[in-house]
Amino acid sequence: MKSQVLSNFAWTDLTVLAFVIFFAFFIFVLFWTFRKGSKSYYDSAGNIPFNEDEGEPKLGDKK
Amino acid sequence: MTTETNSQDFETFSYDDKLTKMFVIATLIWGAVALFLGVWIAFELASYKLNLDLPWFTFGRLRPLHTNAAIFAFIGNAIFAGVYYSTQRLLKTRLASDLLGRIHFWGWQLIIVGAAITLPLGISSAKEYAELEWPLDILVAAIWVTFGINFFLTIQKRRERHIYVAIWFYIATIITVAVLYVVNNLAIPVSFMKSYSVFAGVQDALVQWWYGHNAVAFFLTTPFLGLMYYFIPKAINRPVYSYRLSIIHFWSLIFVYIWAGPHHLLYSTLPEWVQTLGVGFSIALWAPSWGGMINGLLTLRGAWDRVRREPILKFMATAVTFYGMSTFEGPLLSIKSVNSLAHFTDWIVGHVHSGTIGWNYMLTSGMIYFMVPKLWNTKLYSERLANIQFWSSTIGLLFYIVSMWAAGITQGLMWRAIDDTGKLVYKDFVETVDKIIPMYWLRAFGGTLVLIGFLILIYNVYKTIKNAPKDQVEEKFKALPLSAVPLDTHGGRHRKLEGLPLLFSVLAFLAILVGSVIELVPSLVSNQFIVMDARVKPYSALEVAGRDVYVREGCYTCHSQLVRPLIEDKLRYGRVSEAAEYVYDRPFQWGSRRIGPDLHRIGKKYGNIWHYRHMLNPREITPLSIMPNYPWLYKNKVKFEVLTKKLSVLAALGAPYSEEELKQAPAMAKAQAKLIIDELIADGVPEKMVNKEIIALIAYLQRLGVDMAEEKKDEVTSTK
Ligand code: HEC
Repeated sequence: MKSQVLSNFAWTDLTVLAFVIFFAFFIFVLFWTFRKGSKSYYDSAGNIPFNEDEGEPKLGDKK
Repeated sequence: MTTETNSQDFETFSYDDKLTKMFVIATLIWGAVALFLGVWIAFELASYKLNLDLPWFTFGRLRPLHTNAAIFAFIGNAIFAGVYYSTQRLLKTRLASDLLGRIHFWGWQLIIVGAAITLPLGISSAKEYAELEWPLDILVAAIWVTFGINFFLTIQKRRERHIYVAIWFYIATIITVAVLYVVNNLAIPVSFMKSYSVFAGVQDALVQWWYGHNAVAFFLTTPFLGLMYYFIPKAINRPVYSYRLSIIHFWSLIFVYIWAGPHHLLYSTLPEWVQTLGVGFSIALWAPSWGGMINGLLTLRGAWDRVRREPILKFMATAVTFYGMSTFEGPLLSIKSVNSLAHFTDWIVGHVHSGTIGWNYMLTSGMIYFMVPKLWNTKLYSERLANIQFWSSTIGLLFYIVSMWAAGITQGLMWRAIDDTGKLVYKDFVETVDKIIPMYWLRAFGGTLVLIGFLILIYNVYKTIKNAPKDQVEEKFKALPLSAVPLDTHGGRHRKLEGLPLLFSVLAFLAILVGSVIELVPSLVSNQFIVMDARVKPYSALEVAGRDVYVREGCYTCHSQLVRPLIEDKLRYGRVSEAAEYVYDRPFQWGSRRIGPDLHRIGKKYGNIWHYRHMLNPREITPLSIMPNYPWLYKNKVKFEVLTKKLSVLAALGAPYSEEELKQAPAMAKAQAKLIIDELIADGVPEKMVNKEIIALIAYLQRLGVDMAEEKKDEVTSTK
């Protein structure tokens, strides 16, 4: 059964299929990242590396 | 953070920076070793004498050690140092388990020591960047999983709800490397230190380069992009230029990368549609790569005066620039017409090093200069030395890249030069070697400058640590636990994907799975790709022994076994290689660089005595040769007893040996050796050589590519 399906499959179809999947995926990612309301989220996410130094009082032996 | 919360809600914690320090030191030690090995083998190509006539020092054995040391020891330890440093800070939590961290560290160093012992001994599975034999492979997998478990447990106990893009790159790395490494190294052991790949021939080639290319992608690229997205903003003290772009960068990069492997196998016997896919996605890869580069460089915008002044930023900006350069060159080299010229030449070697030195070495250096003063709570010993390292490495790298461009293009053009009468202009392969020897000296010089730069880095770090305060205490930090952070500070459904590590990991896994499945599975399960030809028979017992010598000595580091359907290949080597010829090759030995000529049509080209003399001292036959001498093959005895075991493993994997051939393997091998020695005796070879490895190797070389030729000859005579 499986081998029948495979042997009826022209391999060039796979090439086309691959690119179709990719473009669908890419468009989805674009759509996702530019959704309404994402800007504030991304702005704050971009600042995560700086959160550690900011705000919280540090305990500790130095300073 | 949130002001309404009571201060007693804050939790106090510290980071496991001891572990980061250990990985930093390991990076420095192994970095020096890896670079030294690189410089050494570069000089071996410029002057064959440096092979020293000793097995452990020959190019074929040290080149795998160099590549493995550079990738897994130097760059690997650098990744772990940077990942542990940044992850704890980005997630505001200490590593889940100090113990697992220590197991990871010492286990990884054990693997490296194991590699440093086994590879020079010739214990190698002869698949590029995956040469380690099965016991070490298992250890690699186990330690990698340990790392992964600790990493995911750390994410579990984070105090920062949102997961920064750097962490995503780390997650993709952890998942993908595990998949790649395990699949590519599937093998059946013959003995404690020898195994045969479960894949053969074309399939093995496809799996190997799916792995090989993605080792570049998911070991040398994605973790470093994560590091870039953390360390560049930290070093310049401003957020990444566009966080949105970094997300598009992430998803398109991991999705596309996994497909690109077949660009290593253009003009091979790999099915055409797989090659087309590989080329298409390789060219597409240019876009996300440059998206990432632009994002990195624009983060530095308007601060170029600081980049000019501060070594850390200088290294990082240079790294990103070289990332851009090599990800431009990569797609270019994937275009079939360019590839037909560049493949098997030093152009590829130059390309690889503009990535590893330009991108990995530079970013690692910048990262170390950033972390070390913070980790040891002190100031950098000398900015001047850091600048000297920068210039020494950059100039060295330019020497490297330019000399390899020149060597690669020169040799590629010489190989394909055909005169008016349709004959090769440079018939002797060695002419094309001799021409580029000056480039080999320049490359070795450039490499030396890079090494010197690294030694300066080591000295600088050593002095910095020495001057650091002696009483190092773990700094304490405070943050709210996740449960106390309101869920929707930033609103939106983004949290659903970008704050949920498990769902995210599954999606990333699916993204890499699509490409892998579409490319690999049809070729592995469909019998359309297991091309059989009745003329092709499995190797005889003695030839198997000889092939294992070929594998052990790493002949594939200098010789290909793939005649491409190109006029220049046909003229020089003979009949174009066909898939059916490789079905018993475990592992496949197509190689990636022709430092010497292709060997797929070497069988019956010369007499046995030719090989006997040539392997002992190639210069006796070809005065300008740079191939090492192999005197030990004339002393080591063939281990006839293990041949039964070897053949039965190969039979279990599908080679149609008869009962008789399996049981009588040692005797039959001895009989074949006798035939060869009888012929050699006439030329003065002593009879006692009959049981030496050289005889087995000759048997193998004489068998290469002859199966399908013989019948053809019959056809020709019958039509006459
Ligand atoms: C440092 C690179 C290097 C390594 C390693 C190396 N060779 Fe070579 N080999 C060459 C070069 C260069 C030539 C061409 C000059 C000559 O004929 O010696 C060559 C030529 C040959 C030839 C003659 C090919 C022909 O068509 O004339 C054979 C056979 C050969 N090598 C076998 C081997 C085997 C077997 C090994 C492993 C045990 C090996 N080589 C390892 C570089 C190498």
